[in-house]
Amino acid sequence: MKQKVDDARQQIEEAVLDSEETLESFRLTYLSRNGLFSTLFEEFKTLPGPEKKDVGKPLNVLKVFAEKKYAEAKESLEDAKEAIRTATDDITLPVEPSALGSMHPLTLVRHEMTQLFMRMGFTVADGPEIEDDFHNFTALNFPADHPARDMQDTFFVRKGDQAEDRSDDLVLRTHTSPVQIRLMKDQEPPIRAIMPGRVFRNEAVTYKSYFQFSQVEGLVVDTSITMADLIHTLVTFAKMMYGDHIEYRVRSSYFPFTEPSIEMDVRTSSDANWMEILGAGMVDPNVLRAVNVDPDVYSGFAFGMGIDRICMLKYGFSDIRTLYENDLRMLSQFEHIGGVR
Amino acid sequence: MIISLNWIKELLGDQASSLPDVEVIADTLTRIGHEVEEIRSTSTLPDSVIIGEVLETQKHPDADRLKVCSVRISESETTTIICGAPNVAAGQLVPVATPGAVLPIYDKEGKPLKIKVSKIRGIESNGMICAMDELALGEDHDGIMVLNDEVTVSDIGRPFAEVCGLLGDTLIEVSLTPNRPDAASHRGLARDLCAALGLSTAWSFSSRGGNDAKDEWSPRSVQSSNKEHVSIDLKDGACPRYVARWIHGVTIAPSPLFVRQRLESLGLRSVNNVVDATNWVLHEMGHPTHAFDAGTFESGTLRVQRFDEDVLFTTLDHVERTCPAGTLFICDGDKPVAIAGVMGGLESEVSDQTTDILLESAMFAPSSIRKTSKVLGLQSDASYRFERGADPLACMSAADRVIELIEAWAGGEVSAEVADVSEIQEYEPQAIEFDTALTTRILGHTIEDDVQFNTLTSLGCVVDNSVSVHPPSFRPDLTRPIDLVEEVGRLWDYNRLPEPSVQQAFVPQPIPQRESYIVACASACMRLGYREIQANSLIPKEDAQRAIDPGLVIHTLNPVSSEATSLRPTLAIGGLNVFQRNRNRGVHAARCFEIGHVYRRTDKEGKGKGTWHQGIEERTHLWMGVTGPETTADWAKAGSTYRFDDLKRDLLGVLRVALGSSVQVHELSFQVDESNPLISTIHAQDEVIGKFTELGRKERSSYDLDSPTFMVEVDLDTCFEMWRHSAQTRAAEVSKFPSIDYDFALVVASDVTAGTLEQIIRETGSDRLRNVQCFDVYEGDQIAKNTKSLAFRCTFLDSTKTLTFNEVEDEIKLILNSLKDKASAELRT
Repeated sequence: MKQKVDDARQQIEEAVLDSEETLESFRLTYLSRNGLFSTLFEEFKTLPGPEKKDVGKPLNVLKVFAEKKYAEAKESLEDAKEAIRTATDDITLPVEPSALGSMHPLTLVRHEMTQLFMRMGFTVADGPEIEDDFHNFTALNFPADHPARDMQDTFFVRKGDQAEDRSDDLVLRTHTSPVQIRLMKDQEPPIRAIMPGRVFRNEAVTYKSYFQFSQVEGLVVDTSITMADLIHTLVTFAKMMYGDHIEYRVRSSYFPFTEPSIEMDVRTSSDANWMEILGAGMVDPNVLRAVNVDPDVYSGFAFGMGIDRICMLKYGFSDIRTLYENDLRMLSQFEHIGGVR
Repeated sequence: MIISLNWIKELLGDQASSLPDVEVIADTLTRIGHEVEEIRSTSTLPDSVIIGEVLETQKHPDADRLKVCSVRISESETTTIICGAPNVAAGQLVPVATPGAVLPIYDKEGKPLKIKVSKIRGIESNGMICAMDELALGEDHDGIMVLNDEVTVSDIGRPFAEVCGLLGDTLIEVSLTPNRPDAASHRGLARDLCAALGLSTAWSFSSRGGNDAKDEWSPRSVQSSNKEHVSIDLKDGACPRYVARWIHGVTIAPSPLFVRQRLESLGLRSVNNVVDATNWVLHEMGHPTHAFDAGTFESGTLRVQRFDEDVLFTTLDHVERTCPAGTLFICDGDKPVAIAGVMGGLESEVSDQTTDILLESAMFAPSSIRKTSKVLGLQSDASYRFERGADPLACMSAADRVIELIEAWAGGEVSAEVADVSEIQEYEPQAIEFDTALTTRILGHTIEDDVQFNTLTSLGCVVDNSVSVHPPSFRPDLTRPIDLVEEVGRLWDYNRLPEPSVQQAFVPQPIPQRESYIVACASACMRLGYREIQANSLIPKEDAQRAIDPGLVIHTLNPVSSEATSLRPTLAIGGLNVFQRNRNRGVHAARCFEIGHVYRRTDKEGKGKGTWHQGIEERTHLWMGVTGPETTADWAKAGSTYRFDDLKRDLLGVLRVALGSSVQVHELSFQVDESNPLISTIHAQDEVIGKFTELGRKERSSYDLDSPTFMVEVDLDTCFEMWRHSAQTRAAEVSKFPSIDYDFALVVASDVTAGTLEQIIRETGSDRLRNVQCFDVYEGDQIAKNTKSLAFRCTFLDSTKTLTFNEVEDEIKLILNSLKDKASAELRT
């Protein structure tokens, strides 16, 4: 028996384990259930006591040695295998980046603007895109048969499906101001809200006009709201939107629903051209009266700006039609922007 | 409107020298509400364009159409010029561009024309006899200008521009707001400009508000002592005042050159010396007048009236128009001669043969003019001003001014008779009770009373006792105290307002849930790699009518084009159009979403009462669509196209956001449309929340799509109502014990749906059954015909202990029994 153990030791020590095959043959020969060690241990059990003493320890040591040799050889073989690079292990093989979704640039700008106004304490209000004459015009101090209505080319829709009666024709809202009317009807002052949304004008489609576009309007009504507050709010917004360095100017204008009315221009430097960015004014007393707000107690300001225009300036679109064309190669450029929150 | 700076200077007289640079003028006009869009200069003609006299013309020996002219260009000097104009003739006084003159006309490279001595077919030509267009004085190129009416022989050799009063000018194009009819004239704009610059405006008033105005209103009837044999009959309140004057024996001819030059530079067409006089005054004072050929009048009565039936009438632009019943006319007796306040008639137009002029200077009600102008689609310089409100007190002074100009330019004898007819005997000037404290309240800054009153006075208001303000008659926009605040603020300059010293303290209101909800839904789509599109709300009629019951589609009454006639009843059409457009541009793979409004009528049974307006449903939808390759084949992976389950997975993901915790994914059901197996409705809490569609082969090809295409449209308004009842998200503790999976395969009849089986499993399982998955579907030879096999994996979890296999087996037995009872499902062995 002792001789057998010595022979085995010699064979195990000499064994060369440099391949899957030699490794497997080693395992089968020595370590498997029918391997040499199993046989030797079976035989060992049958030995008389004194002889057991002589053989036991070397046999155990040898088994541990064999197992260790096997494990080490296996490990180094795996390492060697891992070190082998195939053609498809080439990290420089090109792959397409994972597809990210993206928000439409108009959405991005709308949300940027919304965020800025939210920081200034404005909430957001919403309303329908199909409106009645009262909300879109009359309550906003557009008298019937007044040239002010020509300022906004209007789409009309008939209320009943066959009715000949034009008197209650509805319109596609030409601005989001009707939401202001709804808000003031529903809620007592103080009011401090913006109304973003899609609006419609019956205009020929060209590079700078489209029959639909988006606006953000704002309304503030309280007991002592002034033109100074309005301008301060607009300047704060413009600086956040366009940068602290911009120059601005306020000029008188006309809108039926505000009195006095103004427009605001900004420019990035004193030699750049002025860009008109918004219209605004103090809410006309007739508008306040139309929604049962007492103009002797309350005053308010309102403003409105086109999202499309700001979007075009910000991202360098030269043709408004591009915004509604939805070419995916155009839209994919906005993947870089992490979306909105 | 285009404004001539020369004209403004003429109106200002001595004050003109106080005017600042044109840039400052433009900035000032823009600041006070008259936005300047463009400034351009017209050049002065060089002194080397002189007056010459054609002494003799001979045909060019080598060219049929050229003439060799001998032209006297100074007392002592005569030169030879070749001229091609058909009208050149001896005895003409003409403008001659002498060699070296640089003319304000430009070649293709933008270089001005320089006159040189040159040989034309062998004969030397020493300059050019000019046509109007060659001196940039107009479009006319029919012949050379003949100046015999403008200049005399003693002017020969003198600079043409100087002799004829032709000056280089600066033209300012201003965009007018509709509330300021008074600004639609040189006088009105110059008045505002002076008021803003602190210059006197006293020169600009023929009348002011208040008692001044009362005196101005002095209508006289001409019914008796009727020298002109015309009585004036105002039959309609829409004409509150009618002034007529007469001038006889005029000679109709082209206007003097400086008149033609100025009118043309303002974009007007010079007609003749009488019509030009009315246009001149229109642009000078802002009041429209009309000159009739009095010789065409027959009845002796000039009537302002309407008719009960449509009237066919030819206006002086040679267009025959059908004027609807109720159109206000000026009539010779009962024969219409002009559409009141809009345009005169061709028949009574001033022509070359006209000798007697009846000049109308009237006032018409704005709404009447606007209505007529709208109906006829005809806007004129006159209707533009009348519909915004002309100055009722200007009728007489405007008439006087036109008559003065006609007399100067066309000669004739002015009739002593003046008609001024009105039904209104007394002019009641407007009075506005004005408290200057309102200015402080609205502007947020105190402007001294003196400054406020001076501003108002400079604009023509009369201020009584510092309480009552009478606005001038030419400012119909000033009726309320707030209007006066605007005048004060506008001229004081809003840019000077200091920052508010006290910032308003306010408590921000909460952002409406719906706002953040929509953002969250959009973000969910984006998290799944979808790209947002924004398509048109207006789509072609046929597309809309194909999508829903045609009777429920809403059309615009005045579509902008046939591509955009109807309001979209679904987002799907816009989405598919985007797919098609991209496909045709070579972009095959698309994975898009849109959130937007859709519109339809409520159906006839009155189902749905309308969202915002009775009978109109306007809802917010979410659309998701996929087409083309899902993944493109590359060296690592095979490419794949979309299958329905790709979109279903994404939809369920998005619905986890859109429905919140109010509806669990397994509580949703999909019901296949009975008529079209490619369409399913999506149900939650017994309501339809959306529609899932696989595009059929034909529909795909109509959009040029060759890959499987799937889309889903969800009603976010309905989902939002469910979402609102979601429990607030809490971090619930997760079990520390492992779960156990149990797999089994069932054999069922082919028509039993997976959804039915899943539902039975979930209903039967206890609350320890946490998830049910289907991991294999098989039909084929290994099982009976008309059957299929579905393999399910049930996941069990107990949050209080480690489950044993036996416990799970007991539950599975119950589930299998239930499946057998309810769906005849057999365990596949």
